[in-house]
Amino acid sequence: MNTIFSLGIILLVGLFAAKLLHQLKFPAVTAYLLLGIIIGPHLLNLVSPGIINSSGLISNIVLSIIAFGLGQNFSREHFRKIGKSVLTISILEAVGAWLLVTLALFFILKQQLYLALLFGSIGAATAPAATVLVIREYKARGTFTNTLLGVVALDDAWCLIIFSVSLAIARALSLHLGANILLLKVFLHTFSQIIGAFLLGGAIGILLNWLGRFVKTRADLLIITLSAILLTAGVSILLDLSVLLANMALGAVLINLKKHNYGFFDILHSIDTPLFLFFFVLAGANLEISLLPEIGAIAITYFVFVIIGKVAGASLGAYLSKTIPSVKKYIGFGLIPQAGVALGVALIAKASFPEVGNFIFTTVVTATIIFELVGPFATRFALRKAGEIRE
Amino acid sequence: MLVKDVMRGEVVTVRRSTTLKELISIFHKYTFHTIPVVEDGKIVGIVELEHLLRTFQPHPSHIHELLKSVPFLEEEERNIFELEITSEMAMLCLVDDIMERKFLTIGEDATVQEARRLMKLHQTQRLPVVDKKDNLVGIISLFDIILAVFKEKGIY
Repeated sequence: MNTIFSLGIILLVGLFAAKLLHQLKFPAVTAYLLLGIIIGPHLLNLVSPGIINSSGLISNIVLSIIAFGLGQNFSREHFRKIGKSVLTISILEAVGAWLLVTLALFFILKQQLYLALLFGSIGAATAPAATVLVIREYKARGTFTNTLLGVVALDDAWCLIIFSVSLAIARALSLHLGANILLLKVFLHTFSQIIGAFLLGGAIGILLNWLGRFVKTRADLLIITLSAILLTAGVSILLDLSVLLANMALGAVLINLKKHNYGFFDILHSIDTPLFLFFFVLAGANLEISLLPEIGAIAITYFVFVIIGKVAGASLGAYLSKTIPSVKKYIGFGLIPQAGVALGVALIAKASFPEVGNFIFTTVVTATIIFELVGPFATRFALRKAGEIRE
Repeated sequence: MLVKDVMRGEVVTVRRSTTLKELISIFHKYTFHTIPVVEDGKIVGIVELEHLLRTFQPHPSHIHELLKSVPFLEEEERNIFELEITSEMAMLCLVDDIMERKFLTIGEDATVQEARRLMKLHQTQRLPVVDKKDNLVGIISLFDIILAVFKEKGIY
């Protein structure tokens, strides 16, 4: 199977798979993932090894674009509009899942701390696409629905931040594995990676803002935006900084420098759909089916503690922000679906830790499929209990 | 040639509290379809003809704006001919519910070339013009620019 033929097949079949599963009320992400598993090396073997081997590269590029886009959420105006409850709930549900999964894997399953941290940070993700599909299907409206939409919209940004910090800590921990772990060293390594990423993203953001005044056509705008994202990612890799945080900082600095800069973000919508399709099919194709029997205990623990962490964290956030009773009781159940960003960061974890990467990735893909099946029911339950589904 | 030499100083504006019914009347009365939303002399948003379709959206504008940055979200296919919408919406739906909060402006001292560049880049034909304190002072359209060029060349 040659690489170009493989690419053509992936795009064409991906489109039809998404349309087909849309009839069954599944988001396109699930369709791409399942398609990837079917045409992957363990079943139909229609994906060339060249493409499979470039998964790390592709996930870095796609997630850099996503992180850049999410950076626009960090504008003063945005924070003013979304309100205290959405902000508090979204932070605490993400942190709740991160903490509980990490602690459960470390203390109950006795996994190494860096592995537990990576799983915990991936657990912070939600799947806005799946949640939005349920809300649209049932024409849900009201305060609960608006809060839920706000929380899932912000969650991806928190997940990328939590993952980036955890990845930096995990790298520092694994570097000193076997030796006496010097906490100060781990802290300094992590801190320098994060601060360096912010400085790099900020500097390229200022440069891009300045270059923007010379851009005359939309084609130039697309090229200059993509080049800034790739340069940020490339220099981050070169300097061992967080690729995701650097691109998020690039987006955040750009939108805060000038309100008109939204054009840099909007132009990417012209190319992102085929990129995302390709990215998820590839994620499915990366699944190591032979590892499935080994992941049982970790997958179950991950699945259970993600749910407990999200429900508990979200409810705590709702109580602290003194929101309406239905949000306090049920908002966490609306946040169960997990897919896109979880898979993306799992691919990065896979590339960063080759020795345990396949194990992490296979666990997350399996959990994602279960989350995508169970999640919509939980969201529907939450919306119904909140009284915002029009029967 | 500067924007302030070419722009039109009289601008039809609306407020956040303008009702859908009043807005439709304005769109009906004037041939242009980009209207600045102004509070205390400053622009807080714009409404265009296509934003009228947002009347049918089920959630507030700021939630929709937030969702725009979310990756992997599929666009909703809504058939506006089959949606349930009641006549009370004419008074209940306000400009604030449907206006676009991301908008472009241009300074009155900018060049006309810069105005044209921004119009091409952002695929728009009308830009609100502001002074140094960000107060709305006019509006410049593609037609105003073309007209100025024609006048300069003696065509009109």
